[in-house]
Amino acid sequence: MTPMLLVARREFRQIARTRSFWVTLLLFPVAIVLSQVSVRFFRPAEGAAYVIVDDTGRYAPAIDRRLKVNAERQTLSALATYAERWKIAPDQGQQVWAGGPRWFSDADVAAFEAAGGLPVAQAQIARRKPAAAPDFRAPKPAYVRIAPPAGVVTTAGPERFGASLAPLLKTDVATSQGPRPLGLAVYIPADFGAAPARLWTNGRAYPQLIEDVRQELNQGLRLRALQAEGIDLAALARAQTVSAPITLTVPPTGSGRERMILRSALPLGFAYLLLISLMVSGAWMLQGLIEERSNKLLEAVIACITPEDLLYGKLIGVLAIGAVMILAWIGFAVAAGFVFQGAIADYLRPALASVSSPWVVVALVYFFAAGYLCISMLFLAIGSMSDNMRDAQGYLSPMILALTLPVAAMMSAVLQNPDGPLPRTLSWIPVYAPFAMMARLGSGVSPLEVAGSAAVLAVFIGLELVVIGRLFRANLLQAGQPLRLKDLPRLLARAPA
Amino acid sequence: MVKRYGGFTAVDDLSFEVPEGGVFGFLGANGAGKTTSLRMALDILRPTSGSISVLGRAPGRKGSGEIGFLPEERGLYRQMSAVETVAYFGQLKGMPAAAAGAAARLLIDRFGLSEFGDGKVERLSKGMAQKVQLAAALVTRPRLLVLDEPFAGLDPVNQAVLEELVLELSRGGSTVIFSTHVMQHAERLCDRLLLIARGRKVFQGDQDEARAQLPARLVIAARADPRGLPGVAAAQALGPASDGWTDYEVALAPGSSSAALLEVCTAGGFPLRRFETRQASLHEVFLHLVGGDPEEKP
Repeated sequence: MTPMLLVARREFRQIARTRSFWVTLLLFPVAIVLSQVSVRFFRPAEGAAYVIVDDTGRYAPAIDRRLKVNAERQTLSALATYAERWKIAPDQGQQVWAGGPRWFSDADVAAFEAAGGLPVAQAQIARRKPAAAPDFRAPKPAYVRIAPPAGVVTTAGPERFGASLAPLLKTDVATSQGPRPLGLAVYIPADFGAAPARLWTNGRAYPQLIEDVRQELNQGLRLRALQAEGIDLAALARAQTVSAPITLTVPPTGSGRERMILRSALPLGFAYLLLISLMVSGAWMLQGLIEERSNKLLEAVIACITPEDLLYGKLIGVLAIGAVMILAWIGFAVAAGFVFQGAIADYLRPALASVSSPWVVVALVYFFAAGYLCISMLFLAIGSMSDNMRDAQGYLSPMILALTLPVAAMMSAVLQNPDGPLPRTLSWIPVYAPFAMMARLGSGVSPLEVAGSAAVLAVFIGLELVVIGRLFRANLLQAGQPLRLKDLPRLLARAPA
Repeated sequence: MVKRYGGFTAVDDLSFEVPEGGVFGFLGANGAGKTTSLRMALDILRPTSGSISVLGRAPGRKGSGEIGFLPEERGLYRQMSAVETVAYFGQLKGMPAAAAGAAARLLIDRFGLSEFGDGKVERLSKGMAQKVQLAAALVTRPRLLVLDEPFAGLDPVNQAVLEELVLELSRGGSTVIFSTHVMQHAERLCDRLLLIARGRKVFQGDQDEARAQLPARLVIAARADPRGLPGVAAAQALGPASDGWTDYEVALAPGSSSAALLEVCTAGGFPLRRFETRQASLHEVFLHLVGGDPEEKP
């Protein structure tokens, strides 16, 4: 094994033996698992129960009907998404749910109901679905009406109703869909219109439920007002069934702007991983170099090998640490995709499409490795100019800020427009180019721009190798008095003796 | 060789040759240029001018296994074990991994550190750590061993252990270059000496030649004043007479010797009860040649 690789192996082992390496390595998968576990176990109960006391007898049925239509619309939407995901076409005639997810009007819902609703659709799907497809599970209705629970006073006006109901708003109540929080209680007095309807909530936000109740109450009042004006209610009811013939199509999962975001997700993820792993492994390398300086080790080492071997060995070691971290994180992410399936798998497919082209993969690997070298050398330069970690902090904090702030701004800009001025500009500045190019690769960058940015980066790394090599060598020989920034111009002009 | 840092000349036109075998003492006060010279010999520093040949070739890492180096400023990788450390340096100098591991284990055992060999270096005492560093310098069985202030920071017991090791290596055929500013160590260990001051050579030779730089000190106990004797330049009583005998420190005239004076006294019946010659110590030679205390900070 060459001295350079021996140094690299020692660096790798030294970092891999630290507790902080393992904590960092495991942080990402632990975060994935925790997020999934928390989503599963700490997810708030779906939907809510509501109770209505309607002294008029006219409004409650309308509210129930509205909420039922909404629930049917939700089922229809899920059915359409499922059919598109598993490429299932109905075997009998045209079905509302075929043709992909879109906005379903009340008329669509009525047609779905008329065609037999969910049972018929499920029967058709069962006949046509591929073996790998899981069974379709209809979403539970968001809101379930319950009868006023025992103990709730419904015959003594809204105040007594509200007071007797108050304790129940803090707990779950039994419904046909299992226990749910009592989200809304509505009291519609007999003289509604002259007197207000009263609504109580449990403090959580159910805007759609409240909006549906409000709309039905408004509509009822308006109909009564129109009737009072002598307008035929039957004609009005017919007129209300008329709706504008609008077909609203939304992009299927993984297309349109969502598609662009999804395609950028993986390269952006790589860029984030590069940033994170660089910051931590760079800090480890810096710490190692400062330890070597303060432990007076360097002289014994460079009596055996050249300073260049030591420098390149350190870089290779830290690059290997970064590669291990990234590969482990990717491995964990893929495993999580398999374990948790569902949404992750649905989003992973279009995201993977962005790295299906060999040249994109090559570009990603190049920018990753080049980024690691480019930034790691800055950490080495700091280590060469510092006697201890306190000295190093003086350089480190400004460097990290100067690096991360533009990168963070660029990453959010990439999601808006990958070809925007900030991402494009940073693609040509060597220290930012790895992040900018990796973030943009998913959404398509011209090969010329990729090649140009890669070339500029390569030239910069070459220059860095010369300067940092000189700085490193000069620092090793500079017993007890490390070089400072002001020495850089001299080093650029002439190699140290 | 010459080494300059800007306007400061650390090593000034220094030339010397180290014979193969034995212990070569490289002496000088702190800041005299010893470490800089050794670093140039090891290609850690490049001379501003001049040329160096070590084991028949220019300094470099080629054949670094033939040279063992224990620098003045010493340290170890704290998280590595003693055996790993020694083996690592062996591999850096070109030993195969298995051979380096085996040699490291042998040296660690030989230095009495077997039970600490696989523990982290950070748990070793200073003396133990110094032995590990020496083992790292010796792992390749070097022909030339360069020790820069090897006794610095060691207690007397470990100094004695290290001195014995140096002599053992020398007896084993290695050439040892040994830099120090403590003359007692040089006196006990070195066959030949190079004394430098302010980057320049002031003396090179063996210990006898070094001591000959100062006249021998002669003390006699006589009943009569020896100043009239042939070959005596001056004499000074060291104290009052006791039972008629007085101690004198005698300075010999140029060209005369203590043996000749003893012969004169015996032949002339000049009564003597004590006749003692004492050679100058290296410390005194140093003070004489350099004009300062070697252990003083520059």
